[in-house]
Amino acid sequence: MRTDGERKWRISRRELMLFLAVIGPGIIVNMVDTDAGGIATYSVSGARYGYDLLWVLTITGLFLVIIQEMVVRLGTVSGKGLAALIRERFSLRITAVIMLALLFTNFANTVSNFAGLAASLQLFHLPPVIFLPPLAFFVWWLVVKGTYHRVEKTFLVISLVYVAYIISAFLARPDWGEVGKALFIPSLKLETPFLVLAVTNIGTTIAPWMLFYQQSSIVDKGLDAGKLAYERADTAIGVILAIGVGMFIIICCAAAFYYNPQVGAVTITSGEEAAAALAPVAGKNASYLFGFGLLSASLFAASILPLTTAYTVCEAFGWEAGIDHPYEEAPQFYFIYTAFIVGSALIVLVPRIPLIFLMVSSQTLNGVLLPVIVICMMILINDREIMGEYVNSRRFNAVAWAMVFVLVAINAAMIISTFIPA
Amino acid sequence: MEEEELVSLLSLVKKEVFDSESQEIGHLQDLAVDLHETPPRVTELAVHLDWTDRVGDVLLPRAVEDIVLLLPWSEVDSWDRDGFRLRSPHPVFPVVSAGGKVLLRRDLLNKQLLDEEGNRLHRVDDVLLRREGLMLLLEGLQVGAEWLPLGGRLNDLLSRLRKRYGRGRDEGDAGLVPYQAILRVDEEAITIRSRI
Repeated sequence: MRTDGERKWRISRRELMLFLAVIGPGIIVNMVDTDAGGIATYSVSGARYGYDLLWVLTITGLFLVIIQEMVVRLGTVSGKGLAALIRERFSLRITAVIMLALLFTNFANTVSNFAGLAASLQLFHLPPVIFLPPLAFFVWWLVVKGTYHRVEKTFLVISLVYVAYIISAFLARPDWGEVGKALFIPSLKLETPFLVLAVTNIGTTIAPWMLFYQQSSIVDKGLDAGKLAYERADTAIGVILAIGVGMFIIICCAAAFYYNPQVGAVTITSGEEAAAALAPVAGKNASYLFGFGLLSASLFAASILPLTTAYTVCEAFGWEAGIDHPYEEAPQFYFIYTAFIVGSALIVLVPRIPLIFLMVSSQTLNGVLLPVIVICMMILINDREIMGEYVNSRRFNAVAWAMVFVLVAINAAMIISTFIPA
Repeated sequence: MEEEELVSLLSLVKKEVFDSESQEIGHLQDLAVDLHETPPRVTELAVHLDWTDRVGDVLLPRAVEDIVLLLPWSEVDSWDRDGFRLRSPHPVFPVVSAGGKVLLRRDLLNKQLLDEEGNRLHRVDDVLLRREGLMLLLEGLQVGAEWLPLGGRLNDLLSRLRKRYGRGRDEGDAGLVPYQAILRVDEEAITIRSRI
């Protein structure tokens, strides 16, 4: 005889089909987040401090779950994107300032992903000048000529490439016992680079664009409060996968460099450096897999970031948007999307443009923007006119506000850290 | 202020409200209009009171702070750039129910504008009112702040609307959707006439 507990956890065929129909926004947004910048941060963390920063990702995962659960609730209950809610609840001025900051930070992030794409092409001895323009065109074409469902399916399939990092980590032969301990036992080093890296790990993993993208996707899919449980599951899977991939990158670089007696702690500054340095210590296969992961992740993010920016800005100002509309109906949407891809590809291809300045200032602005948006979200989710019975409970609010406080502190620290010489 | 002039809703919101004894009692939160009148007239004002111990004729068991009440426009004795002056002393005001009213800030400002085919056009950036003596009449919806571009399709539609409903004003009305073009006000969006 089946107990109540067993019955509760039994998933019917109908529920499974419903879940498969809903799945997408949570997984895609979290996988895209492991972009060129994220891969660089995780690689540096592992190569320089071994497994010591793994626990930071455990905490980051908890933060992501709390924030994205609120995004899921806001989207399914209100049926509106985050930009629309901010515009309607606050004002044109506040919305315009947020959109301007988002345009700048997302553009810089797109440039960083095109830079990652160019660097990973070099790993495979493919000159970026020849191969980057067709790849940029492919990214543009994929979205402009596709339907939403086809694009979402393509993105879900692309997410599978992150398996490359899991295999790379196994090829680097880590000590899994040490890994297990490091995941849950915090290790703190009171030195500036360690603290800066800890803060950067959280800062790069939780980005403002994610919140806008996920909520817009939920609304676009027409998911309502009845699908809340499925979308929560989609998000939880996405967070586990993204944090898992981040951890595997740290483990891979830690085992290959930091814990390798022939190498020791090394200073790596980017994902492509990590991929190249892996070859002599973990074999060519590990190096190629790592490089392939970087190439795919950069390509993936270079497509999603312009798309989400175009959606968000159009939603805020009330312009027609969406890849299911032709250019004549949504000119602003296609202009922003195209300008982001063409502009980023050009900046990366033109020599002597100071990319570092762009990245650093975008990271600083991201640090200012994230707490502002999360505070807006907290106000929105506690508004009974919008959320009805789905407002935060008192206990959830206490946890969420504590998280906001920590995020504000972390982002302030991150901004200060950008002015501290390495 | 001149007897007849255009006034923006954003310039009125948060203006101080004074009672008949010139005491500041709160600020303007919103304005209600009757869309069935031609032109639509402001019929009530929503005042955010700092405190009150009565709502209409009902005496509350204790004073409450930060409460918004809808007062009939006839309660307004005068208004100008410095604020609104009411005819009654605080807190003895006649109160109107907000049920079924169209409130400019809540229901029109920042809302999505759709054409008759359901295409998104722009959001409402401001609401323009025309002063006639003490009365305030709805002139239209302002789209496109100075620094915000308008799409080609919206520009065409606005020009057609101006030709159809315009009162011969100058280019200052370029971003104005006249009130006659408002077809429907829903919770989610405002539909305007586009098949003209």
